[in-house]
Amino acid sequence: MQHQTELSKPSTPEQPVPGQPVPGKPISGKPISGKPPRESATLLAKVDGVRVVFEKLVAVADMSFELRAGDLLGLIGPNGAGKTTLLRAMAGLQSPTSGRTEIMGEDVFGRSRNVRRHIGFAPDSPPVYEEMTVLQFLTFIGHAYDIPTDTVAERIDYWLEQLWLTDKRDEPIKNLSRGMKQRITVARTLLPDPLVILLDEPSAGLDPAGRIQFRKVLASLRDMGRALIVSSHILADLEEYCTHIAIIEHGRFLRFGRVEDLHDRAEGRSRYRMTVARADEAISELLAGIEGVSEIVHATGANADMEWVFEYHDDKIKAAGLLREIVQRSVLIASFEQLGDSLEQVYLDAGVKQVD
Amino acid sequence: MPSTFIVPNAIIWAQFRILGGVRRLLSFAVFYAILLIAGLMGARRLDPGISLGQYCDGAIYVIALIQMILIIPGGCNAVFRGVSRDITSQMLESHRLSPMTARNVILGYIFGPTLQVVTLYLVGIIVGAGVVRFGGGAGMFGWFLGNLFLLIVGMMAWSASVVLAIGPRKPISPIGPLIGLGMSSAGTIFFPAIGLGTGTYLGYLSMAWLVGDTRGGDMVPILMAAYALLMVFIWAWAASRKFTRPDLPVFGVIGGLGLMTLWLVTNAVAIWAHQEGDWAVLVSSLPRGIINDLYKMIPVIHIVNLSVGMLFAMIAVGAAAHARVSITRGVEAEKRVSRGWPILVPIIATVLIVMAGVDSFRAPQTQRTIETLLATFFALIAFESLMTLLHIRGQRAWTVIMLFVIGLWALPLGVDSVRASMVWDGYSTPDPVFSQLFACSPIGVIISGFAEVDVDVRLGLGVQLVVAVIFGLFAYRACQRIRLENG
Repeated sequence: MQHQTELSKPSTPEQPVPGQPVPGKPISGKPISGKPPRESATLLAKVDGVRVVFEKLVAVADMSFELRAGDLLGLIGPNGAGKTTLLRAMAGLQSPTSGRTEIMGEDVFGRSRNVRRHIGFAPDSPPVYEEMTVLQFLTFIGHAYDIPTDTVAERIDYWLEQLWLTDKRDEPIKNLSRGMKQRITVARTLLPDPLVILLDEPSAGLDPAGRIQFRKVLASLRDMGRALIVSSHILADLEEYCTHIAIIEHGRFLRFGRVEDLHDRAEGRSRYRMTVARADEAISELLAGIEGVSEIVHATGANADMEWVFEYHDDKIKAAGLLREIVQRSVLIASFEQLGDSLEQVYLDAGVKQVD
Repeated sequence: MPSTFIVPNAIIWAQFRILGGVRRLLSFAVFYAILLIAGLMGARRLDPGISLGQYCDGAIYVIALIQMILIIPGGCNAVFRGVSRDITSQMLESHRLSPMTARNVILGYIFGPTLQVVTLYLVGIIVGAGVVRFGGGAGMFGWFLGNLFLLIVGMMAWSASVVLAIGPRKPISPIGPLIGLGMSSAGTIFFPAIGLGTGTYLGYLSMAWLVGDTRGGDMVPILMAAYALLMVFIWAWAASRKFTRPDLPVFGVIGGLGLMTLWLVTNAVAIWAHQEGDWAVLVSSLPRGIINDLYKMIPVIHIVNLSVGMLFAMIAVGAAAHARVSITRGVEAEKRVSRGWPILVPIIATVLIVMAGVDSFRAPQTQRTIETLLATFFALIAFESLMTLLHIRGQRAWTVIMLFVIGLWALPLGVDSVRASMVWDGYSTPDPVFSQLFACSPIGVIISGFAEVDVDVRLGLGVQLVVAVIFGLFAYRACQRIRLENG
């Protein structure tokens, strides 16, 4: 594996970085579930049995996965699930209780300068020097990463343009909004042209146009052969650009796999939501008795005894037949709808609970 | 476009920008120079009766004082503000991600935020040189060298300020410790390691040189400056360690043992020098009256030196306990730490303390030496077990540590000393008679061993052994529980 020793202006998809994986179709990692990985892509990051314990709280519980060039992993889960801790452990900011993280085959905790050059981590709250201008701050970052003086100016111009910050270059950072600071943090992370990019809630504070632009940047980085992990609560965005999704709770993966593999229902099946006008405990038994109905979930809380979600054939005629059969059994139906296979649904189906 | 970097260190460059760049630094310097010169000229006009030479002699005191205030409290405050601002804004963490070496980052924090202070200090040197030229002080050589000594003291204080900012969970302002040090500086005469290690001696000497009193000969200032530079290295090293691994104590096993050794050796050497009549060379700038009284104080100084050495040993022993817990928990990063530290560190510390005692007191009895060895070892083992328990519980319970030291080390000594002095009539025995309670404290055993206080220490040693075993068993059980939980 060739390392990129001389940092240069980040390549566009048309200009691959010399010595780096050839851009192409996203390549799978080593999922816990889903299709086996394509071994041809370069392994950039390896998380091997990482466990992080804070006194009695297990923040990350023995996680293992691999990221190859072109992988973009979306990390979703409730607050306190361990997403940030996992990213910090991968960035070398949080020492693991056990296990190890390798970037380009080197242990992150070896604190090798080469490893640190190849990791880009953007935390959720933007770390910036408020007193500096945007240009001064990015120049400082270039200085800290030993980027040659003539190259750093080009790179700064490139990323300012990519992140719509060009007109703010001479503005003191303290005068900018949170969203702008978030973009500066992303620019700071990408300026050294890292191979492994870890972004914690990068879209927080971005306006809709900024989010759209940011999605393009991420997709571009993915196609350039970088390995990325993005932690976000904006599931629609993740679904658009991620190659893999991991749902995390209590420091463990509930689901991990390629986006298309996460919907683990059998072919020809779909999910339906039925709401009744009058509560009736017998409906669960009624549904269970109908051939082809499975995975029945009874709503709790405010809609208890009023709402059911279940799986059935995705054929519309068969679904209409089911509806007729239920009506014939004197159930007063208020609504009946087929649910889409959105990431949001997958997330809800995973049974994630809010962590205290 | 700041495309060319003015300084090679990125942190210094960042701090330079934050301070406002060249324009602001220079405008402040010019303003300060005008203010200083105008102040001096104005003061001269107020008192035209005295000669220019006399006036300059007085003025140099004022400039020296301003130089000292700028460099020490001013510089420390600048460093503290620079580091704590980066902690709050998470820029310190951002630096951890970068390929900058820890050494560069820490040097950046020592010399970056102080750029403004140093600029003003240079202005003070130039203005002061003018005053010296008109008859102030005792010549240019003394003025410049005094300023150099002051700068070295400042660097030491700045590097300690970085440790105070990034070492504890919440940054500690260096101003409080500086005031405390200033108030207790007279006490440093008894413990040269404090005077040398905190820069008090060199600071005192540099102030004397600035105002024209070039005392201390050639070697003393050089030795003091070398010691101060060693301390700069120690603080910077500790800060680098904490920067690299914020989850570890500032001083690890090696650092703790090193500090303890430095303390013991410095004091022992100074006391030797005193006994050989060379004491005045080392602390030539300090009041003579105190030095003469030192002869009577030597045994007490020895005992306090060893006792404080035990407190320094607590740093190394605490770090060994931290390593023990980490190893028990299977923390990957700690695997490089020797599994032998938890037992080796108390042994090494014990041997070093007793060796310093033997050297200081010159040939005490073998039995007394062995008793002292045992007492010190038991005390450190008990402390290590306590620290193991605290680390397992994730506590930094300073109250518990204080209670441990007061309850097991100081209280038996104090109670028996009070009792002995109350029953002592001053006639029947030449000195107060201590009971076996006295030796229940390890310090009591050290006193009886080295200061030849006649006490039967067998019961005391037994008590200390039992205490060490009890604490040790609790710590062992807690570690076993972790092992079982981890499977």
